[in-house]
Amino acid sequence: MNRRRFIGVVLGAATAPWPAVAARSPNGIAALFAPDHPLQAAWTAWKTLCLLPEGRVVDGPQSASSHSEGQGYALTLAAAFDDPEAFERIMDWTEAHLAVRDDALLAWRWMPGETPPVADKNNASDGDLFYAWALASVGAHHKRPDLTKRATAIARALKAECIVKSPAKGGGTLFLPGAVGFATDAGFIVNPSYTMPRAMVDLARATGVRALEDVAKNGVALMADMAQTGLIPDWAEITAKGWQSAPQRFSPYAGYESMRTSLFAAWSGDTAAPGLARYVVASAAGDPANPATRFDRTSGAVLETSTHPGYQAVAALVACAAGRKGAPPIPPFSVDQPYYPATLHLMSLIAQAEVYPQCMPV
Amino acid sequence: MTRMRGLWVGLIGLAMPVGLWAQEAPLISLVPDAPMAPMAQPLAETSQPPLIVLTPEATLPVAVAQTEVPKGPAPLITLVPAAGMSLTDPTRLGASPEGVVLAAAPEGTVQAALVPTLPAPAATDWMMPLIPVAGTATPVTRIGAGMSQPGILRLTGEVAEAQMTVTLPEGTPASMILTVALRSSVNNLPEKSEILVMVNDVKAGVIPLESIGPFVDYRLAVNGLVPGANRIQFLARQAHRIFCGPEASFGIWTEIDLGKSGIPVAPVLVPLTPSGLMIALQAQTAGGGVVEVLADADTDARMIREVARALSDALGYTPRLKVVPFYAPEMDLTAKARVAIVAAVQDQVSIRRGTGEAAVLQIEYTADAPLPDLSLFLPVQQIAPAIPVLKPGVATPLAALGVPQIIGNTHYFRRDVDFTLPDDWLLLASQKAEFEINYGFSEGLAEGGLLLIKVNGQTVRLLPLDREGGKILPPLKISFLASRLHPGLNTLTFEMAVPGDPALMPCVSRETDMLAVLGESTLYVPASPRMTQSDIARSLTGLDGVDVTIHSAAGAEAAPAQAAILDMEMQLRPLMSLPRRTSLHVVSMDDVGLIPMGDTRVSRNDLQSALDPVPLPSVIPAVLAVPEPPKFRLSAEDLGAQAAGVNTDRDTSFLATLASTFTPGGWVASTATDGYRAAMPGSVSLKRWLALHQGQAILLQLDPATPDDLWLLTGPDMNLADIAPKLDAFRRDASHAAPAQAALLTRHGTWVTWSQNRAPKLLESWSFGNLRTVLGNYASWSPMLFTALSLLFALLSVFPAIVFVLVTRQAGSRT
Repeated sequence: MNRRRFIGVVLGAATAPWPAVAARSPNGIAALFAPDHPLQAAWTAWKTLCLLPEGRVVDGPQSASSHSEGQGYALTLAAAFDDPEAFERIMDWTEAHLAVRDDALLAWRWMPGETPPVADKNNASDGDLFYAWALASVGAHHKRPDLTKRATAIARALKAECIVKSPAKGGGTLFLPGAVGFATDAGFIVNPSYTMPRAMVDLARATGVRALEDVAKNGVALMADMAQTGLIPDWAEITAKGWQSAPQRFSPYAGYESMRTSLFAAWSGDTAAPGLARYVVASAAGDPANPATRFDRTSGAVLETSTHPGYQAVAALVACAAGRKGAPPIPPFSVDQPYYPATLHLMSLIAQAEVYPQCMPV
Repeated sequence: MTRMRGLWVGLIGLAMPVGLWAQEAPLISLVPDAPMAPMAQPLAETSQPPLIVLTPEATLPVAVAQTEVPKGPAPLITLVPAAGMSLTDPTRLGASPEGVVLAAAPEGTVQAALVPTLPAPAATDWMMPLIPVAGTATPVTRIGAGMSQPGILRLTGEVAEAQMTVTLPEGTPASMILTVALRSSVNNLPEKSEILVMVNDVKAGVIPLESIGPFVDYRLAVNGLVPGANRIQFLARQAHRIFCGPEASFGIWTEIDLGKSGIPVAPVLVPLTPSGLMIALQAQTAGGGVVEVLADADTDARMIREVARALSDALGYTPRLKVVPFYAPEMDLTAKARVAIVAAVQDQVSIRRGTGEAAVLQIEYTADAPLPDLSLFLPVQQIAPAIPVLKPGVATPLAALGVPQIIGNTHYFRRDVDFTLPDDWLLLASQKAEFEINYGFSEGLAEGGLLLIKVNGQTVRLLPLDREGGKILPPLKISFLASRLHPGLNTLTFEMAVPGDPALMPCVSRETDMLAVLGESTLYVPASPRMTQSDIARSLTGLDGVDVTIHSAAGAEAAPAQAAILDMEMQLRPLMSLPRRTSLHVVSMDDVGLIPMGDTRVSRNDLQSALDPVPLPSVIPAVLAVPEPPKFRLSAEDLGAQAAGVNTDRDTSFLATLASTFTPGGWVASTATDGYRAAMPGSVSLKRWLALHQGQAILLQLDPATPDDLWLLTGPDMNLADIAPKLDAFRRDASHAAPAQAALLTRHGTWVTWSQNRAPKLLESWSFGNLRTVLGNYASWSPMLFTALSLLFALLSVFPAIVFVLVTRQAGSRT
């Protein structure tokens, strides 16, 4: 598709109400960037920073572990940058080391130097989601039925293991963070940032698992409800009374998890999301060069900041996408940061390039 | 150096800028005790006559009545010493900036002092740069103010002046620190060399010129600054350590690093408004900084060119641009201003804060739509003044050509006065033009002092300056051949050289002006019938950068070609309006077949050999180092070659030509050719001319049917980035031989031309009134052809008489 026309389609979708908000291309995330696109340099830098030759994505601060989130993000990035070599490497390692469950889902973590390296076979649904999104996108783009088949299996498994009916009245379905361990006496624990509307809609349409599109819609509505009283929390509990703060062992703040909800909403073209607006206001109060990474959910007070440019990128993209005047520019990609902010940084650049030309890093 | 054939070959000079308060009447004092008090009257027109005081006792009713001048002292021309006057007095050096909107001058005295201990600006501050006022600094180093390299302004000579502006954003305080990065020539005598700094017409401080070697920052605390444009003047007085004279004038100079000079302000003070954007762009480009244009690889090149031109128009000078792709790691994170051209779904222009606090002009455009209107963001503010047009048949004062007066105060001095003649003006015969000069010079100038009056580089009068000084002389009429003038751009040059007295000691301080040429001096050029003659330089004067095409084989898609197109788009503006637009096609040797060759019979090999790179030998053979003309004259071509001073030893075709001449057919052809060439001007064929020259590029105008289509053939040595400045220099140089149909850019960077000397064309009807002049033009174009035709007509007119006599002769008659 012609790039300008593609941007037009995307922006047209961005201004339309749900569910047009998420659907982009029949090929999903695949091959967004030609081999000579200047953003390829950032992808190459990201690989140098995070990807081992065998295809394992290393999260340095997390004991150099690997997890399904990192593998799923990496596969998505490889698909977007149309990098088949990296795609195969990442997929091969993931299938060999994390596809150890009885179902199609991935074990959530692989620890180097431990025996066994996968001590907990529980899954992380966001990792499964991004992994399947990448497979489905590349499968459609490169006519690879094997990839589509694998993506469909994961989508079906997600539906079976991680999508549950909300105990709240009219709450629809919930997207659980994992197959095990997130049910409480009164309901369920959810992580709003695990809901990536664009990926869910693409995957649902590519695999026919419509439950994913429904749960995306419900997740967006849930976050809109949360934003009535403040920022989107990192974690929450859903009961028959609605949503409430998660138990003590979960972060009650709007922090590193929560910021992804704004990034994913922007990437999905949903700039009208109330939670996104909350984040824009809260992050504008700080220093753009030293953005907040953790807020008090209700007051918006800054509790923690970081100099990593990846967090600047998220704040800048979201602010510009929301149309805030004087929004800071998205900084150039940098490898002077660890896996997590670097990945959010690259995702912010992809979202900008794909959806928000007016937010070009300048 | 074709224009410098006078006494001071190699010395290229420019006059001191014309009077600081040119809008006011100059006061010319011719006697020692003439009053020096401000007596000028403000005049609405620069053409108003100067106020001249003839004797000390002369009453000055007008002057006295005008003593209440609102600001600034009167301009003075002093040809005899006056007590207490020094050339460091700013009123002796100033010139009035034109075409610039300046802030109101502050009232009262601006207090400022050179304080070496003032703190350096913060590293994060932006330096609000000093921008030379348009037209006051030459693009090359000459006497006076000129650019020695991008971003470096050089003040050369015993006295020199630079006029600058510095634009400050709203909210900046009136008291700030002016940083000036200076260095001087080792020849400068520090005790007698200094720069007076004026801020908004008030003395701000004096900087001693004692920094020899690297640039040294001088910081002055200045008051009286205002938001918007502020006028900064540097008035240099310099003395040579050892010598005095024309050569010494060139040896003394001071340079200002414009990239490191200015007034530092915090970036936060620069607002994201059009005025703030302009300030940021100026700050970025002063000192030769590059403006990055962020654009996708598939962005329409024409759109980028339009943006480049808008930038150039807004800044009033040509900035260096660099097209950078988005997300590129090579983006300059310290840039103060950028431009981003973004493919989007709506047309929109905005100013954003970019990486590193840069002010970014973001232009969003939709596919297949024209560039959004930029006029609100990049208003056209400062356009270089157009070259004045001289109307033939009317005596035109210099003041009407934008030169109210010329004052020279350096031992070598030069001032060029450019003007244009109509495109359809042509006089080739012996008609005379006339320059009536009103001038004076200081008394007591050293013996041998000369003033050369030149027209298009050729000296038409040499005036002594060592006698009868100290007064304005009676007007002097100087006649010269009007054929020395061209349609289009012409240059009248005043070039002064005064030996030192003594020459082997530093110059003594002067208290009088060495030379004054008044604006009442007139130039008269006879009118001509409307005629034209093809000339490549004249066509170039009408060239607009938008009409330049780089053909594909020349690498049009490559980055250097795109950059060259950008340069041409910005730098090449029409110098004058022509009836038809001129097009320039840039081609490489691969595309040489596109060039129309007319009837020149030039082959690709001929062109290629002229552009072949010449390997540099480690030892230059003597035969090449000193080319000699042929020792014989066997043909008109040899005459031409000798006249051009070129080496024909390289022309190995001579023997072949000679041999062919001794065959019957060859003899006939050779004789016919010689006869034709003797009759038709343009004695050296292009083929032969090319064989005698080597260069980097050839500019051609060979198709008589399309004289406005010019072709530039670039050789492998040609740097595309050099095309625009070289073409601009060529078309602005009125001293080249005209008319020309080919011009070769030598490896020394100069142009040599070849003329086919095409026949003039009459653009109006024959009439009794123009008959003589038109015939004169044709006769001068080709005297032999004209003579032959005249003889033919004479013979033809005799035939009827002979026939009549024969027919009417009676049989048996003896008559």
